[in-house]
Amino acid sequence: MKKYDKILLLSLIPFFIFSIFYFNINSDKKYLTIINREGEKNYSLLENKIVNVKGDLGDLKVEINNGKARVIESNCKEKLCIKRGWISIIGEYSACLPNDVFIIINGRSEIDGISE
Amino acid sequence: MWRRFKYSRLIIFFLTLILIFSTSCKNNLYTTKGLYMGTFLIVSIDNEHKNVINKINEEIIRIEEKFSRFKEESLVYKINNEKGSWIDVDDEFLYVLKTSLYLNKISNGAFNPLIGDIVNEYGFYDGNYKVPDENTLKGLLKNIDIKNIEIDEKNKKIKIENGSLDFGGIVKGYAVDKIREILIENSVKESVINLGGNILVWGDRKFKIGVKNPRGDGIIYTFELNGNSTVSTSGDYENFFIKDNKRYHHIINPENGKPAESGLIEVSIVSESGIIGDGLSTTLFILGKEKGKELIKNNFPNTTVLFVDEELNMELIK
Amino acid sequence: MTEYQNKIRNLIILSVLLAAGVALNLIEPPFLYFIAPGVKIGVANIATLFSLYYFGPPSSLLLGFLRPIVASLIKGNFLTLEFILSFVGSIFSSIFMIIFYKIGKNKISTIGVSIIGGIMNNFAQFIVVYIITNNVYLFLYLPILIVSGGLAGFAIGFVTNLLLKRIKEYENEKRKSPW
Repeated sequence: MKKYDKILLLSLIPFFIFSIFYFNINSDKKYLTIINREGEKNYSLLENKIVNVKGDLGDLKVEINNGKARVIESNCKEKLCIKRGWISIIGEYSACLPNDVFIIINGRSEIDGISE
Repeated sequence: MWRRFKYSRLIIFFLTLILIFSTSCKNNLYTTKGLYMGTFLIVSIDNEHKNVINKINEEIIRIEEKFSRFKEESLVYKINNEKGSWIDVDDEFLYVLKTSLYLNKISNGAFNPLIGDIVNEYGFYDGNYKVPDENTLKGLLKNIDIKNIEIDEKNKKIKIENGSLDFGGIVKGYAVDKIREILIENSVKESVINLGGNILVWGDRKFKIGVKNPRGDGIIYTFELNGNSTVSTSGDYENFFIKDNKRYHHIINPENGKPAESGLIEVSIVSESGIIGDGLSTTLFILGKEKGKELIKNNFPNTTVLFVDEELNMELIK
Repeated sequence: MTEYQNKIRNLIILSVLLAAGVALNLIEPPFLYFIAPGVKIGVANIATLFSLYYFGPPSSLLLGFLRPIVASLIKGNFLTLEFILSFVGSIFSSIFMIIFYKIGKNKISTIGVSIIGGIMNNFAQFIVVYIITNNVYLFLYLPILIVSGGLAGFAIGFVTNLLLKRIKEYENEKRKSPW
């Protein structure tokens, strides 16, 4: 370990602190964006449901539950998207790369509610 | 020595960072979700008034236990099951009933608080969807004349001869109004209430409320509102079934007992009064665009209305 | 050893390193995947890092270029998004490791260079994801990626450091190459 090594390691600390703070930010103005080859679609995280998403290899199932989302079914080989588990924080994303599908938690600072 | 000095500067830098973060999170609203009145309730409230949420929940339960069609201890249940006899009611009940009758009057019967039996016949309450035959409908339509409701205002009693009361089209809006009273009593600074899509925004800033896309996910329009407004929306997507390629939805036209076919699929109302907004969204959905505009112009000139028709064209009336 | 023999020797060692890198790439368990897709410890980076210190920048860049390609050909995901992410990550981390190796020289050790590699690997992948999704909110997640990349780089650097030390010791002892 030389001088610059230590400086490099230390410079990770602010990012680390940010991450801790960031995990504690709980916003209810967030929503889920699913991106596939057909385009982008937004889903409310407030209602619990299962969304079918078209992927390159076949359909994926994305579960939305209590402000969190995860992929629960995919016919890709490695199933990394399923192993990724729940995502819930703004900016957090999961992807099924073989299917070319992304799911992202989005912030929605501008909308306070949806009337339906 | 100089190295130690550098580290201490780094530490100061991190501390400032922490400070910036802790101050920027201050203005967040605290949010809870729950299930009441057969729908969801989302309450967002400023952090100092978290305790008000309990009061709101209690109030909603109280209203539900008075106005629910299904709860056996409710006034509405009692009235519906003891037809032809005078039942004691209170001021609150009379207020909601009279508002219904007022909406019925100005809409020439498009809004009808006695429509419940027909809605039930389609199975919209229990999910056993079916299309009733013409004769059944004809029989039920005779019962929904609002002359069946008799009010004895002096003794606070009401009596219905036929039909059954259903405040489903109005009571969520009323609940929103009552929640606003609680917010005022507890001097809440900022809050967003969402009771099954009936929204109240409260606070000293601009709010943005989306209107659900009736034929897909996401929103179709965004209202920009001042604090102290309510938004109510009715649409054919809320509770419906499809039989023989035809969509049967839960907003029944009292004229023929069939799901309203006014060319509209969604109506959204911005109003100061929750109960009026909730009732109007149903009413205008049944009346259609032209008659609806007329009604708004004559009776509620300060109300904003968003009409969405079958081609998803939108028209906004202010 | 003649110069010709030396060249062949280096070529063989590089090929072995490439094969080792590809194998590490293939067998690496994706247990860091819960942080974000594409986030791994990056054990395959040991090969790149080792070649940087043993042979110098050009060969490590070659390894960083070839490893994801060969690995993806074996996996069967050549030119898919998965490949692009891994390729961009590998190239970026190689380039930045070389830069820091050059300018750092005596002030930065294997560990520091490896931290840079880990961070840049995640950062480059993040940029690709950002370009694809065009979602600003992703930036809020960047610090977590940087921290996990840095820590993974630290671990890789530590292991590579040990490896380099052992091989140097061996060479000094026997006065000949271990290969």
